[in-house]
Amino acid sequence: MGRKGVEPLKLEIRRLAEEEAKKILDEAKRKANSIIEEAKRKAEEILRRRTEQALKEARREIELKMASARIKHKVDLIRLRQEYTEKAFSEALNRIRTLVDENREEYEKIFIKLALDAISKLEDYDEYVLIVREKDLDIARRALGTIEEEASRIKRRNVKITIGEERIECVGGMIVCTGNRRVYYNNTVEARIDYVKKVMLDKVHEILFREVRT
Amino acid sequence: MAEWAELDIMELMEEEKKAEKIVEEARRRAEEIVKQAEEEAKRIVEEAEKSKEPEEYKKVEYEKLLKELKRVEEDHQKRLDRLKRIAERNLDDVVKFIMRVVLYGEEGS
Repeated sequence: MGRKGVEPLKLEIRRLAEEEAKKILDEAKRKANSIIEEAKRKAEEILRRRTEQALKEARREIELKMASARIKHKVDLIRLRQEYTEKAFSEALNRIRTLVDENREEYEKIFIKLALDAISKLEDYDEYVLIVREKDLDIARRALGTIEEEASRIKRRNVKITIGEERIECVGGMIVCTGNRRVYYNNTVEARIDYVKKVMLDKVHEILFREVRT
Repeated sequence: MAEWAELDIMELMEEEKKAEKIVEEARRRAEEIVKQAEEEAKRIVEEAEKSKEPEEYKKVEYEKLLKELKRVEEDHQKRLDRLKRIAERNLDDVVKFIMRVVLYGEEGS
């Protein structure tokens, strides 16, 4: 081989080596890019997961506060309703007490009506006894005739009404017993207020919270 | 002729060594590139793990929801105040209704 034959070979050896080196570096760069891309993808996923978790925590914390606020609101509404219901019954009782004590004429009419209401709700007997408070004895005595007459009309028989010896403590009204004292009907003001509380509370609330006055 | 051939071979062997060095250097450099990439990848992942970004999002979301909560609480208070005014206004009607039922047995409002 002469000098002229060596140079091309040397060039070829170098070229092949450089080609191999380039291939190695290209492969390394490709691998490096892939590693970085994978890391970026992983980082994005980590951030996404952490952000999702953080948002979830924020929402959960507020949702708890929201639930607590809703419960508090319900409790406040119930308390408000109770407060005004009690106020209404208390004020009604006060006004009734005043009417009973100061407007005896009106109260006498009411007394008669309450007695007849009680008698009408009891079974048919020949005799009924009115048990009243001490302060209403005068009214009871005065109204006895009227009550007896009206009761006889209601029961369609001759009914005898008497005033019991015992006295009751109440704002007004009376307890009516059958002559044999086996059955009684409590028609005191307090009993009637209890009735309204038990049976007509919805109506009371409806009036209390209606938007437009009728 | 034989002398020339020997010289040629030696020269080519020398060139082969140089070629090996080039490849060797490329391999070393390639390892370095991959190693650097791995370190960079590790840094990227660690940064994501330590990033304050999610907390920032949480803070923004929390503030937004807190405003909503405050609005709901204000609505609740307004509703309570309104109902209180209504109850105050209707109290006399209710008292009269209770009195009518208790004293006269009238159940209509």
